[in-house]
Amino acid sequence: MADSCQAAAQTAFEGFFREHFAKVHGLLYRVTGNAQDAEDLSQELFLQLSKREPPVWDTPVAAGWLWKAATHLALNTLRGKRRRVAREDRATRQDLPVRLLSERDQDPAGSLLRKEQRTAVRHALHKLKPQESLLLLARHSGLSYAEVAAALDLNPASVGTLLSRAERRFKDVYQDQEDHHGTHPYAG
Amino acid sequence: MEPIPMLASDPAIARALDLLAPSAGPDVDGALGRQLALQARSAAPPSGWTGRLALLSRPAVALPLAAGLVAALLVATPARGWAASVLTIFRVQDVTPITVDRVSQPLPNLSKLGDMSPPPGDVRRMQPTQVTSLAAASSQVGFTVQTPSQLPAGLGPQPSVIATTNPSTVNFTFRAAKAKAYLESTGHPNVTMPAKFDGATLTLHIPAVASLAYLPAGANLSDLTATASSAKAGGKPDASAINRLLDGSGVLVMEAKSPELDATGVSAGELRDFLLSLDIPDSLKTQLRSIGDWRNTLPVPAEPGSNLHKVSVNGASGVAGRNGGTQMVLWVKNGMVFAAAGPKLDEAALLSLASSVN
Repeated sequence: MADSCQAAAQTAFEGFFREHFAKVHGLLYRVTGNAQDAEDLSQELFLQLSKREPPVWDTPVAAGWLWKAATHLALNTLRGKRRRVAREDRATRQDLPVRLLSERDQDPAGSLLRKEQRTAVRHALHKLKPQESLLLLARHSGLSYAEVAAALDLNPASVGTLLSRAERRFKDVYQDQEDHHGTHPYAG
Repeated sequence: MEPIPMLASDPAIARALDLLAPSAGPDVDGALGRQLALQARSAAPPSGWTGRLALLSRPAVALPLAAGLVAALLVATPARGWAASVLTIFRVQDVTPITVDRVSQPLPNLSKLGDMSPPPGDVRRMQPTQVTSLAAASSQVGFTVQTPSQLPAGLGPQPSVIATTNPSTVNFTFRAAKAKAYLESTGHPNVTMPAKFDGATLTLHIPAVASLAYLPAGANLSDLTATASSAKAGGKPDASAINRLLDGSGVLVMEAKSPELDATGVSAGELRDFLLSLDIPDSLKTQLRSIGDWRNTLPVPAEPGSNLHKVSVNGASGVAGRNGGTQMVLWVKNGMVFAAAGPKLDEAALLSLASSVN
């Protein structure tokens, strides 16, 4: 009897894992920029979830807990990166070679360009408030409005407005980077 | 990965954020397998004294003893032979402080250059076990546990808590593909791991550790439970938690045999050269290069603002000073590594205690 309960519990956990792992990994990949770090952090989250007492992963609150924990982790990571970006800015005053996303993507040297672009996107995100960055990343990782609201303790009705504001801020910061870069010696 | 439709008013924003998406979805089946293995390996949640004493094994001063892979890797000794032979390439006979500014430039994560078994998280989760007497502790760790006779005012001659941590072995195998991916992902595509490192192995022998906590008379041991329960399993050494634990004149003494590092496939000189070629701060490279007897000298990381400096403890080489929010002394004597720490002690009191360990 105990064995069959355990087997059922494991099956339920596996189902939960399969349903959520890719999205959690996707969010943490966007935050860390590193597949191995994203995997390690995601695994740690599911491990913590599996140890919750009383068990929650087979209850409706599991997904909420998971998203809260994942976004908390992502926020901390973003805050750390944001501080580092600020320090780098102060230390070097060297702007990243920013190019807006365009037909240059088709360039044969696209790999290097995409890397520069990724760096520029990250740089812009790190200049936003961490919650704004996270809103954009979470939504873009596939979280629904309801999931974003639950994860960030927001009123679901306000998510759309906050997302729009975050998008505008992101666009402004990104555009500023490009404009600033226009005066940079490396500018094409 | 299929782009997620986004209700962005400007498609350029969606395209920009698309750049951060993984190029392919994760291998969920593989990840699930690793998760189940992690759960199987993960011990039951710590409870009772075992859990409480987890903190005692993880003060900042324990870095060279328990979390020493990085430190040990950085001080590998020269080899006398090649490939197939197993070389004991590092053994602690001396210590020296080095300043590591982790904040401005994170150190490379060496565990990402290959396969590590057990994984880093498991190494950090090693749990100490409380024992009831010094004799029992000595039996557990395989050497005679020594005690200080000079203790700060307010501390009794007997340790309030005695604990031991079992020895363990960490196996590491360099993997060219992993190293390449890691170095590229961290923005260092120009740093390459020499081809012969692929498949070379390191074996770090982490010694058994005896920990003795001397707490002020009347210390409320239930506070320890509260402190311990606030610690995250597998977390990094939490100096502030240790400080709370030892608040007042409390002091923690730790003893262990020297950690040792074996290698196959690469010489220690090659290993050292490669590690120094990684993207670590110039100041750290300079400090490491300046260590004369690097074959046997353990660098003790000094946090920014630390005044860690070399000292002599009854003729034995050591370092002492305020580091990571606590006053500490660490010394090496006859192949043994000793450390003592107390947040509110001054250096003279701690050195007096260290000198009296016998």
